[in-house]
Amino acid sequence: MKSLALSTFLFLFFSQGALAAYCETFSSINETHKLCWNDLHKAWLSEACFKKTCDSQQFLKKTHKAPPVQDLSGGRNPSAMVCHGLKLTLVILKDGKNNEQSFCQFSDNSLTDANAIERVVK
Amino acid sequence: MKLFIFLALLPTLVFANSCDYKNLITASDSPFDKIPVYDQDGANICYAFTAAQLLDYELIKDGLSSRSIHPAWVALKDAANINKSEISFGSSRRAIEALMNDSNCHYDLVAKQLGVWAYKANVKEAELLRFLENFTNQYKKTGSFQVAFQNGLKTTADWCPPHATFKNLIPELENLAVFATTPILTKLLMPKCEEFKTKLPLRKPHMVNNEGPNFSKNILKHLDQKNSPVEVSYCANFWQEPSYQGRLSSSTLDLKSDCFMHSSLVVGKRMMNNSCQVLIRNTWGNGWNKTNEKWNCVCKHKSTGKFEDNCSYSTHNNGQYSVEACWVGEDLLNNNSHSSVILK
Repeated sequence: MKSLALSTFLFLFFSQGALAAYCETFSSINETHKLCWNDLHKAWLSEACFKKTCDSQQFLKKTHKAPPVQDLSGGRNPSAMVCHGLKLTLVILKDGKNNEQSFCQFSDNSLTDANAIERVVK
Repeated sequence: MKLFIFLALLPTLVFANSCDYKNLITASDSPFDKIPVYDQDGANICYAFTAAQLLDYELIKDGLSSRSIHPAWVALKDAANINKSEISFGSSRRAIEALMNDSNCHYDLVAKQLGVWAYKANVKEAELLRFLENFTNQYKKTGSFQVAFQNGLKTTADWCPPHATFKNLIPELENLAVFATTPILTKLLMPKCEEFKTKLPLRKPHMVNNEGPNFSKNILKHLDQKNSPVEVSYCANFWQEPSYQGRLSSSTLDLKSDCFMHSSLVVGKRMMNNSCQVLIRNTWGNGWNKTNEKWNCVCKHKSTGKFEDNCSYSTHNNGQYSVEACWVGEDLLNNNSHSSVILK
């Protein structure tokens, strides 16, 4: 029994570590955020989410009702519009090569990418 | 006799080669190394994002060291040129022509100036632009600053975070004393831009309407002959619904009423399973999302910089790759496009 508990603990410990293996700094004019890749959710999450529970991670664990269909005219980014539809703060951040990506920010300031949010709304 | 056979076969040979491999992103010393993948968020100025990239590509190819054109500047010049009060829904060709007759305000300077207002309102650039469009539309209807501001807030609230503080912009808006997006942005940007703006050597744009199968052939030809991207205006619905056909018939330019018009760059071509595909560079960020997960794409490894020419959602969605552009069938381009723009 003890060995089962220990192996479960070790599995969870190392798998969580592996999930956060790849981290990157994203920035805008006045903000810098360190985000890490979560392979379970296939999502970027604030680094803090790998140390303690955060709203972003909690959101990705369940499927949510999609917000009303947003107007995509003029080439608006569909994932970003889901984030706007959920009344979350939309943050455009740049990676080290200046490539841009939409992130949704929750009330605890944790971030996850808008693409991941879009995948859990139906 | 041999010459006669060769001449008879020449058109076939040329046609057969028209979809030979070309990839402007992975080409050595590609200007795209210096032009990031954009994310236009909720701003409906796709035409400006695409025009900015098209111009930056040519300028860098001609020797400029970095990207210099901000999409919001392109949108502003387009609207100002035709005395349009809003910046939404413009034209890439018209915007480029407007920039040819005017000067450029460098990307960093525009971003900094817009950033001042966005910071005050505690929102992002796209949300600021959306609010300005809503507020000024309301002003046009009511003629009252107070009513327009309140209604502008209400109509922006459908996709703005609760902590937005647009009220902080009231003194600025009252001080400018203009109530349409184009003059507001002009007054916001010009004091600094006037000081630093530069004239750029831009090439003339040329627009071609989609009048049948030759539409894509001309795009492929331009890629081959000029090694330059092509802007296409098209119904973006097919990204999520691959069977979607936006054009009502091949003989007219009419599009379905549910078509979401968008603008992107065609940056490559290849033969795949005996059919021609074109490479499209979008402005919806560099990650995998519901619109590109169905397609094979060109990805760049973030650490090594190595390109993967045929990456897919199932194998490359691991945070280590940047999605640079995606391959779609040439037929989709013909069935969904309205027109294209090249630089002469």
